[in-house]
Amino acid sequence: MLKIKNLYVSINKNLIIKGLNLKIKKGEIHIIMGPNGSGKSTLSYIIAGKPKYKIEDGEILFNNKIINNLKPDKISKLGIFLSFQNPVEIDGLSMYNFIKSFIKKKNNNNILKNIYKKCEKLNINKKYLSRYFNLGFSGGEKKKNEILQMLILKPKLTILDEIDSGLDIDSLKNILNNIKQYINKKKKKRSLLIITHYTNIINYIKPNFVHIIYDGKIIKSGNKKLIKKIEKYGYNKFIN
Amino acid sequence: MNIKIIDINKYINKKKINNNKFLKLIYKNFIKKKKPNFLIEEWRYSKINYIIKRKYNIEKKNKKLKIDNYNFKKDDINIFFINGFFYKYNINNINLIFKIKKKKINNINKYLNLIKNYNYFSYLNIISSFLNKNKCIFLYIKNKNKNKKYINLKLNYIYNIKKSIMTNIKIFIFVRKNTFLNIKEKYIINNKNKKILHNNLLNIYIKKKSNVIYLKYKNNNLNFISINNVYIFQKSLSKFYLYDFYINERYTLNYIKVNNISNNSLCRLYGIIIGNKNQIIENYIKIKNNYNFCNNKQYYIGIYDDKSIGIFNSIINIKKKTKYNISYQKYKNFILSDKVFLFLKPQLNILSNNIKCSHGVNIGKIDKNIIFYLQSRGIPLYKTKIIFFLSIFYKIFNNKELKYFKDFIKKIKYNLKLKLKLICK
Repeated sequence: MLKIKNLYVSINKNLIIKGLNLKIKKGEIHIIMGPNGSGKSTLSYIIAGKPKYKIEDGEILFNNKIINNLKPDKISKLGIFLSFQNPVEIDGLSMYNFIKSFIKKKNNNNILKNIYKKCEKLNINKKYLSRYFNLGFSGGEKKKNEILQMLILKPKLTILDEIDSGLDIDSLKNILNNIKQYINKKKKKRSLLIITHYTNIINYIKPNFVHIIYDGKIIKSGNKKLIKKIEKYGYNKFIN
Repeated sequence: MNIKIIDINKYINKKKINNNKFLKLIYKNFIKKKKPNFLIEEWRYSKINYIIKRKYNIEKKNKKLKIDNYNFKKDDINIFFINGFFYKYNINNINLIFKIKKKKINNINKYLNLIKNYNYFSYLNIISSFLNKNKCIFLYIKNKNKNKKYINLKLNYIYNIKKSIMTNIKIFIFVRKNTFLNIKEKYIINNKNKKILHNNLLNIYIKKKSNVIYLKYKNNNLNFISINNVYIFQKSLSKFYLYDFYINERYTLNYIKVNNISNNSLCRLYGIIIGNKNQIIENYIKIKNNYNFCNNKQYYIGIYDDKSIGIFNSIINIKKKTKYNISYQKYKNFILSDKVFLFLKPQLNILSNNIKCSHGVNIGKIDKNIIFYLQSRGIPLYKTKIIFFLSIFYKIFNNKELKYFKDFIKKIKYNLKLKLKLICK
């Protein structure tokens, strides 16, 4: 589904990603971990097509199509969804109007019913829909909002950038269960890439692969046992 | 008559002026007022030469011009001007007392107090209308019942022209006690290829416990130049709301002056400006707080593209020994092109304690993080920009006073979106 070949990325002439390779097949769940500033979030932004970053070399393929120079909206339409670490706040734009702007169907009643259903699943109060987008929302509410958008957009590849930060245990359980359900619904078609710092995420989601990223490169890949090693020894063991 | 504003003195019959005390005074003041030029601080960055150095025709009243098939039943009072001359009025509401008087300029001696602080263009309006014998319109409006229903007043400016002209319209509106009035403007122009200089002078005198909502909506062609001189006089417990929407016009010069002539008045000035191509939008706002417990707020949003020019010169004066006045100025501006010229100067002149005042200006580009976020949800770039701007406009459209203009606001929103589409693509 997603292939990243020998990727070099810079911002303001500073090289951040230095020869990264990654392959995510249909139905797979990958977890990327690494110390702060190692390039995890940059990787997620570059897949989503953030114009600020410049691809110096290498290519990103999604379903065998090069998406290096595509605009973020076109990448999104191909089926890639990025859940932001720090979602933006937009004053004056209600949640409902925002969701309506990217929904394809135009029957208002159906849209509302569909959104209400998903809100119930995620324990989001319906009143939130009339509030301004993320304005005054707690960290957890913002993350729930991201997952709500994911459930509506139904992407093929979901990238979750630090979804577990700022969430209480119950909310985290609820969100990860919803993500699991979403992936399992069409198991062979939907993939997941999770960027995280917390090792206890494997209690809720079982990954196929775990990668450690350091200095813009994947330095170690393995299965879920790798997370336990990271928990035990930290990153230093793998860096040295 | 084909004249240049800059040489208007040449065309005035000074003998006639000397015979009339009032005109003599006006003329004296007119000469004292220096023509706007870059040496005067207030006009330093103004592009006023574009207006002043052109030639205009001053037309005489043409009685043959008529209005046909025009729907005026929606509003309570309709006043029609053709080529700058008062044509007729219509009233569709029996619950109001309405008087209209056409007066010669020399009969308004008792209103001298109102006009002593006129600016150059207001004097020009009176002086030049002396040339074409255009009279003042005085409107007296009162609500018969004591209910708080708004009376709709619509000013229809109709232009049926064959050559470029300058018009000078003078309107005095006296809003009586306990009267709620909303004012709308409509422009109908038959020939969009000819230049029109619309020099408008509007005085609104708001009495005790009265409310006025004035909605200015400019979506004319790019040959239309307008100078809007608005003078507001507010008595105690009166409220004045101004909503400015500038979408299309070659040159817009607004001169707004609000005077509190008693305690406890409220004034709100809101505006949305979208400029592109060679549009010039200049705003000069003066607010005088001479009494206690006066509350005023200004909030303007501007979006500028191409080679458009925006100038904002605003001052709030708070007189000595006044108390508990609240003043607030905020201008938010977005620049979409490197060739835009903007000059913004919000000023506070505070001469007393016990007040709350703040002023601020933002100039910048669109937040790229928001644009990327919206794009990452599959929304195309031009649409994300439109969503972003509409979300900012929402703060103005959300005001409860605008519920009295539902249909009109729908139309404005539609045209704002059209213009935004043009700019954002």
